[in-house]
Amino acid sequence: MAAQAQIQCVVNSEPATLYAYPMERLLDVLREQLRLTGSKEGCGEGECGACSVMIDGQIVNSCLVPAVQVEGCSIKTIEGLALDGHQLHDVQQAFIECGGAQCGICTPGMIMAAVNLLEKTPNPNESEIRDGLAGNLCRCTGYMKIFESVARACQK
Amino acid sequence: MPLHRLHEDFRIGGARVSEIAGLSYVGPLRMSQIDMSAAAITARLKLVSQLRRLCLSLGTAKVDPRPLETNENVKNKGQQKLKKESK
Repeated sequence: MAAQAQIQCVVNSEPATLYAYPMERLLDVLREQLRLTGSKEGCGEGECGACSVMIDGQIVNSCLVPAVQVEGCSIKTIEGLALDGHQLHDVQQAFIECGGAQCGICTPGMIMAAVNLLEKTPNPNESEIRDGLAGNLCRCTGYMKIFESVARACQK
Repeated sequence: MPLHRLHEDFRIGGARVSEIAGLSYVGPLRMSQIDMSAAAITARLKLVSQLRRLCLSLGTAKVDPRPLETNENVKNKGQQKLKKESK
């Protein structure tokens, strides 16, 4: 059996050393080693986007990323969004104000996708918001509130 | 690290990627013969997800206490039935 590989990377602006088995998923390493349980496992097949994190500014489904792939990369998870650890990100605040979160399983992925969208397109129209969040599924079907939340975040 | 860099000579933490990727079991096969495309790795990770889910469900599954019907049991029962009939 192959041994664990040592992986050096930056997670939420902090240097981190991870140990991963062959084909171990980034999602599992983040949740079980670093205890960053904000990223959720939904489908485990890259369909729902609940496990979305950013790797070097690109949004990815962490359930479909081998942990060894993040060697030397910078990873941002939902835990790293709040400024100074206590002031919520504008998107997080907007989700609270607009009721964008229902059961909460999809919320971390939705927020990461929204933040990624706003980094690329600071003032998106409704169509761009829908496109930006197309990779994230909400089983509560509360999409309208989520779109409103992203639009509210743009105004902040 | 882009997936196309996952080739034989690339090392992470002193270990060859071929070892990290769990490919040591392929023996004489060369890395070039293994499909390391993004699609292949995605397919493998989907299997990892399914296997993990299966293991978790087995871990919490309730086991039926009744003994399983093995081939040996079935055979013995058949022989007993034949003996009764012959008597």
